[in-house]
Amino acid sequence: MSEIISQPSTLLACCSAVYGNPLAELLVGESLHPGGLESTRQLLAWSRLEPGARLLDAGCGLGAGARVAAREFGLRVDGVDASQEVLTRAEARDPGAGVTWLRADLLALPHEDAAFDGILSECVLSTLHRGDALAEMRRALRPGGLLLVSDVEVGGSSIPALADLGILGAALCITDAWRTDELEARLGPAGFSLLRRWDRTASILTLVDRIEARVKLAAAAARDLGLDLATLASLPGLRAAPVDHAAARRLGDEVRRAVHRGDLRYFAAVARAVDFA
Amino acid sequence: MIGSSATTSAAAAPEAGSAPSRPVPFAPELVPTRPAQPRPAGEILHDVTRSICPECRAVIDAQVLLRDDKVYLRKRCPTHGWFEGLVYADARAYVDQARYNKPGQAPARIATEVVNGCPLDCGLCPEHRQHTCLALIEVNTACNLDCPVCFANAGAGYNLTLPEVETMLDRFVEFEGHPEVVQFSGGEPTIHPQLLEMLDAARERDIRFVMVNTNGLRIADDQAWFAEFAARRPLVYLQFDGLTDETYRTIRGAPLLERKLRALERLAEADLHVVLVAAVERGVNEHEVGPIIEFGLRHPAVRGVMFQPVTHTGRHPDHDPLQRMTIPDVLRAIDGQMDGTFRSSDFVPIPCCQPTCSSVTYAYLGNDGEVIPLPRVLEVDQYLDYITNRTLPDLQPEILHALEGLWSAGSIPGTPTEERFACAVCNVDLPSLANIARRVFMVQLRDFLDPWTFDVKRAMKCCIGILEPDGRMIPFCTYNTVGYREQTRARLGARRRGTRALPVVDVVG
Repeated sequence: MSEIISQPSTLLACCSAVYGNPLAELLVGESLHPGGLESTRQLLAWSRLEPGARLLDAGCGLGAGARVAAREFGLRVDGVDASQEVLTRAEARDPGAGVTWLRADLLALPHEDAAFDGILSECVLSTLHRGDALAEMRRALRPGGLLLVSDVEVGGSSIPALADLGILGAALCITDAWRTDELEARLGPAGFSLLRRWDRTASILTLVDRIEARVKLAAAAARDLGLDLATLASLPGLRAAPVDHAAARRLGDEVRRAVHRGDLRYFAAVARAVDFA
Repeated sequence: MIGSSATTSAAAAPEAGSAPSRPVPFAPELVPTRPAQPRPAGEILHDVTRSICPECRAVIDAQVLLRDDKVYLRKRCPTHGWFEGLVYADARAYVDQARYNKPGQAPARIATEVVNGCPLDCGLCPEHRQHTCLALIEVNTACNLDCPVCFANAGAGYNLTLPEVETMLDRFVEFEGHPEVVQFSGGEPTIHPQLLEMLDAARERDIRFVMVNTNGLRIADDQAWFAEFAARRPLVYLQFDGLTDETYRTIRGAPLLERKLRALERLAEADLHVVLVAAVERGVNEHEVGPIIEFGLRHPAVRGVMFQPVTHTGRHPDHDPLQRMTIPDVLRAIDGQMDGTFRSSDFVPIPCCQPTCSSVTYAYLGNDGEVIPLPRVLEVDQYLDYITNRTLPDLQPEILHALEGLWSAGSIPGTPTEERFACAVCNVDLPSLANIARRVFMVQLRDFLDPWTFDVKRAMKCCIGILEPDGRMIPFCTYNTVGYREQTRARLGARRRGTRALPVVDVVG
């Protein structure tokens, strides 16, 4: 994984491959990030975007968050992702949701300047060059528009065991997470002012529990019923996909320990697009 | 005081129509003040409802109070004064569970009119908010035990006749259309001389699952009878309060463990499905909650465990209504005794009744003893959230349907449960899991209302009904607390042998 981490664009491709794989959905759930749709709803509710406002879901994955924004909050939503396969599945889930699905590079959005009232981006910025991505989002937001983000943050000197988390690490956005205070440091120069920040670290533990239970269920059912899980285990670009539940358990314990040490956190935040500092 | 002072000032006012010759000086008698009785600090008045007086059963107003992270019901009878009882030992969960309140569904037919208001018009009346998922027939009042604790106050009384039970089953079919589950109870139903014919009568009416709620003694002791019983493939709700004779001595008045185990052995040999039903009493067997589940997980006959905090209706020793056991107390026992095999977060309230009445979970039980609770695999709480999620398209309807089947008061271990479980986990792209037959284990917690905690809001949405020989169906806790049980017993006990069945109430609707 270390080569991948040093090359953000490779990591993005790798992440898309992960999220395009049914196993990722199996393990993480449809919203594909810690906190799930509750986190998305809380961000949208707090932001009070008016029905009819334009929202970009940058890195929309299977589109669960985009659909919540359209269906429950009445927003006009563009869902953008780097993977066409994921977008096709996203649209098939609910063709009537009114979301515009679009394949694009998040560092070079096809939209005009100031096109959006809000941009939602959950567990995505950690996979990109963050300075470039924030600049591109600032360009696409109207002045006063809102950036709604959630992501993983790591502290402490190092988390050696986490570097080798395979699909679990990728699913948790740990592999290239934000550093402590990095969000605050980057927002000002990128033209944003932080309005509110929440700690959502507990959602990591919930997600780890879910992943473990799913791996355990898959492994037990495979053994009890004589299924072959080899096809589920073959993931492009990743080693050590933890389909055996002992491995999942070990990785889960690493994550739990890191959370309890305070070295691994999950945050949600809303920032406003302002004049450049 | 307020009332009498108001009367005094009204009397001092000039009579209407009489024109006084001189203006009367305005000199009202001042209402005296006195020190207010302070309410406990931090107490929140959460809700107002109706309840009954535990002494005289009069229907009276009641307050739902949140205090010290617990929920209490407080009420005043004009004759008997104030009463307060513990409802739920976790205020946050109680308030949060409102989101699991599924819109009710009307029964096909009802039998009574609204005359005096809930809970005095049962039958069901037109104001009842839910159809009946599970109907009970209490076939007798006699029992082969004499437990110190018995919500049914079993003893001398009546035996229903087979024709009476047939009429009741017909009524259930009429009320529900195609009912899936009926439970025979008592007294002790296995000592009724015609129980087997009654099981047949239920089957003949195409009721798919027939449950028998029993103490298991006749199953343990009467091999010839048991062969006949087992041939009818009932699901057995076996009273099983613990794994020590001490517990049975306290709750049931006799050391019963060995006979319980023998009954279970017989049931396993006959391949019948069993749910262990444990009455949990504070200070008696709360420490056995975890061991009972562990025992059930390993026993080949057992498909689930049901925990019922002891209900203080019928016959019970003196108790402190502020210290009773509630669902959160059982959940804490699970957290403290099970090392994570099950934990409180695995339990989700049942949405078809009032969500605070019952919580349940299901787990996949692997060949190597793995226990994988479904809510850890799937966001069950999101699916069953009826307040925020109604429009959410991500929640595929077939999975919601499967989960609603599982999270229902009428859900029982067996084929439909396994099919529903398989459907729910198919969400995770493992279609072959459809073959998980016989690997689903249920743990359910159900807290019944007693005269201290009776709440019409819960009674009005109850989906467990007691069928009556006169053709009415009465919500379970209402039957036990408001006085219906005593009425029925008096009427049936007074009839002479050979008397024709009681006149049947007409169905409305």
